[in-house]
Amino acid sequence: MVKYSFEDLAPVLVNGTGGVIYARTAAGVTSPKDLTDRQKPLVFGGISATGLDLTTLVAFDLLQADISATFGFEGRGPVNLALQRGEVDIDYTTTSSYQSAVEPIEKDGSATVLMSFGQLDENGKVIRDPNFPDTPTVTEVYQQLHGKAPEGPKFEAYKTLLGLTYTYQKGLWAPKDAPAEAVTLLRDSAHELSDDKEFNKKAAEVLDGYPIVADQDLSERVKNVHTVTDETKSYVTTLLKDSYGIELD
Amino acid sequence: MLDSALAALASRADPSMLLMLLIGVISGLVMGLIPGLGGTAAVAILLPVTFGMEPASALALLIGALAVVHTSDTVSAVLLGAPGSASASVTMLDGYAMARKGQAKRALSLAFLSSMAGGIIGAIGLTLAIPLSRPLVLSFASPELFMLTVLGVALAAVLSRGNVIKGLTAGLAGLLVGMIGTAPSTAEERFTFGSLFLGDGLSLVAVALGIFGLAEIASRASQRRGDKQSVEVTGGWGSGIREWLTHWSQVLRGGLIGIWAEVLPGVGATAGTWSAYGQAVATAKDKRQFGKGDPRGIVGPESANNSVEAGDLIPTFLFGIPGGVPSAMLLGMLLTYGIQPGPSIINEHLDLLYMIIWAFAIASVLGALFCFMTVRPLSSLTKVPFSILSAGLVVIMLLGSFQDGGQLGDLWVMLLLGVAGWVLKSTGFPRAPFLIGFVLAIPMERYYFLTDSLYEGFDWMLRPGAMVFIAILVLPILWNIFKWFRARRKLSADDELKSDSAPDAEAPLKNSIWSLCAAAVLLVVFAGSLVLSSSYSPDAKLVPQLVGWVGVIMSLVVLMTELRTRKAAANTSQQVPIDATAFLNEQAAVTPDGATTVHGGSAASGKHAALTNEAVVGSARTTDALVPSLPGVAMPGGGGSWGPKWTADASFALRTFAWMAGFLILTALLGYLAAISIFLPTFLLIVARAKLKTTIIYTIVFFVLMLALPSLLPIDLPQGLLASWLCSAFT
Repeated sequence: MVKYSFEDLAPVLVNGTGGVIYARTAAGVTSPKDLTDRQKPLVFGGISATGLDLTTLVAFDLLQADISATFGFEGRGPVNLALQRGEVDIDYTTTSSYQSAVEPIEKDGSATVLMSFGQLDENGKVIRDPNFPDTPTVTEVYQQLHGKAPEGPKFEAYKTLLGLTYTYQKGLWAPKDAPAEAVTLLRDSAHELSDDKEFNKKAAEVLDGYPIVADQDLSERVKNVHTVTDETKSYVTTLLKDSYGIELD
Repeated sequence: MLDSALAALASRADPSMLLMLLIGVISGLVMGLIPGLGGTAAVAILLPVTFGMEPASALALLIGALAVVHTSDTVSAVLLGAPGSASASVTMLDGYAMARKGQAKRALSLAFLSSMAGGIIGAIGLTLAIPLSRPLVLSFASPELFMLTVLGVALAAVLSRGNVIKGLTAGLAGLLVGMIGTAPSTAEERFTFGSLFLGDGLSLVAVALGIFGLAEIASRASQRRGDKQSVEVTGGWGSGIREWLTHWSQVLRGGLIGIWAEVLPGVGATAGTWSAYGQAVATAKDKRQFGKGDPRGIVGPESANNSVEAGDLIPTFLFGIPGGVPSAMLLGMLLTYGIQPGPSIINEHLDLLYMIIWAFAIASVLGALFCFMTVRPLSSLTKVPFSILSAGLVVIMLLGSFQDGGQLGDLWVMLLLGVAGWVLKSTGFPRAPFLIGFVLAIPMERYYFLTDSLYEGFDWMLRPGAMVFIAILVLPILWNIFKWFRARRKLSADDELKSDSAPDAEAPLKNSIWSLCAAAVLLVVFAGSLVLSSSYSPDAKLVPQLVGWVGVIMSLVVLMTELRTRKAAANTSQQVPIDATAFLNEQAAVTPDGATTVHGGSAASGKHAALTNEAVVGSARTTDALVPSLPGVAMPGGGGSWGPKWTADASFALRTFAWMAGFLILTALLGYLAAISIFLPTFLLIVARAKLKTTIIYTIVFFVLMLALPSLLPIDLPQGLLASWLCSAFT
């Protein structure tokens, strides 16, 4: 087996994606306010708690949403179908499948989009997703529900996961011992590419309009994103163990 | 709606489009013919070709290939008893039996003509059903999908030839093997014994080709003569069509069953094909020939099988959920052309949807037509002595299974399963339920788990859909119990026992020490799985424990029956020599290889004479001496109440497995090409006793083919340790 460590790799360019959390209106959800103080918790359908679902689970924990999670679905598509059948109440989708999976049921009123995950900006702040400019982010929803800006280990963990699983999801890497001028050339060309109008027009369809990032500070930013504090680690392992019975070693 | 359908048909008539479709069909047929390669390989090879093409042409090419891989994989199921997919194992039941009676041409003709009709019925059904397909798909929730998987395994167990309890036991064993790997609900590793290789689960190709293909080779490699005397390849296409037409109602019924199953990806295809077989058996007045080569057993399922195919694409397009790897690749292709899947596709790209459906139909008709026209040369393959065929088959099947993950470990798994498959087959356990269990294990567990956690208590059983499936499962059981009670009043229980212990040419080691041991081993496996799974987390052990307990009960029942049959046989063998004679004739028919059998047989009879009635052994020996053409004689006499023991067939089969293991070791050491150039000639000369000239030509042809193959098809040849040593030595 081959194991790669990000320590031994230098980033050339990164590109990300985004996503939204949506719920079934028939379950009595019309706005983010309906997430808390529920008589019956909302059923969340997931694949496995340790995968991409983790970011959503941390968001729910941060917001103190009343959720009961069921894992074991085959993929996001089947969860979306289960939501349409009424077996599941709340789900999330990445931007790439939003159009096919969520937009139609949002239009016919059977589902409502509650919030977007947002994107991390260059200062590590959560900002609105360019694809969902009118949808509040998890941070804004927290403010709305609890009357103050989020802070503390849960919020730090959310931001770390948002960067790792969405904003900096995909990366092109070069090995550490690659010639420095080659890596610089690759990165500079990628940076030029990210400004090219013609390219961006064509790439919009495939990359959903999330920018290619290859600027000077890339290494630093990626390093920051990949540095997970001990506090975040212990919060996530405790969450997984206490709420979902999963022990990580 | 009709407008779009007609417009789609008109665009099909465009000659360049038809040409693309034709190229797709031909490459799909070739892929399907090679056991182990299927839709994934077909799309993988064609996808790079489509870049830069018009979307319509590209789709025509890919769909042409996808539509027919399951048409031509019928060939290996019928001729060689090696189904490449779960649904082909249904056609195999009667198709292979018919081929072994020397009627391969008849079996293939019926299958291909039904495929053709099935493709058209499926397309008509889908055309009408598209507006309904969304509510239909949405009406199948987790409980219904769970019941459907149960139905699939249960139908396979009940309908396969042989004892139902044995079928269920085999199905449960398949479920257990299917659970090796990562648990769907908790991502825990189960039954992997810490092995990273097992963490991914076993490969379907390795399981299917091992349990059927290699097992079949081992049990038939002793045939050094072809079935010359009984092969019917005469008769034109007309006679095939005429016979097929008499079964038109079965074709129609199979196709209609396929339509409802077609909107449910994965699970639907398997359950649908078995339901088609089930209704054919259920509605037939004379059921005795099923499993022994009944044409109705081929026609219905094959028609259903093909009408299901196109339906696999519906969830892909309507919901963006691909049913398998090939449709996932197709989905990727659509996305690069900017076609968004989703419910809106019905409004925005209806013409495209119809075009796809009808491309599927036309391709499957073309594919079946090509196959039908080549039935005669294909079926004359059965004239070639099986031992000569088997040398090449071993080499091809192992290569096919290597393509799945590129791991030699898969090949060892395949060999082990081959041995298991041979034991199951010889001792009268049907293997189809095992394969279906393996395929449906993870979906069954997934949907049971989801049903259990999303519904309260047993509420889900009250859903109308679930109730229908439960009724389909339970009513026949009640009916059979009722019939059994009624029959019991008339007949003595003795007769029933005898019919089960009757000799069976396909399962020569039934009711012997072999089947007793097989049942005992299964019991140990199920009990062992209970012990192993007890340490898993509650979510991960729910279904394995359930399967383990039912398995323990079932294998106990089998074990008890074995012991009881043995006792009864010990009693009757003293009074009913006629029974033995029937057995002898059957035995003789399956062991044409005279000399070795006589030898092994008398050795066995010498050893165990003490156990049995002297008179029977004595008479067996005299017949032996007088009629050397009936060599099987010594076996039942020698075995007495213990049945056949170490028969010539058994030792031949085990030796064949040793040959295969030798080939694998050679491959691991020297690489695939070097291994075949050693294995093929030695096997042909020593085991198949082929002529020197045949051997040389055979080996050279295979070597050149295998040398050229990687550049023609997306195929990797296993590299040996030697190559990597040389590499590291030179760098």
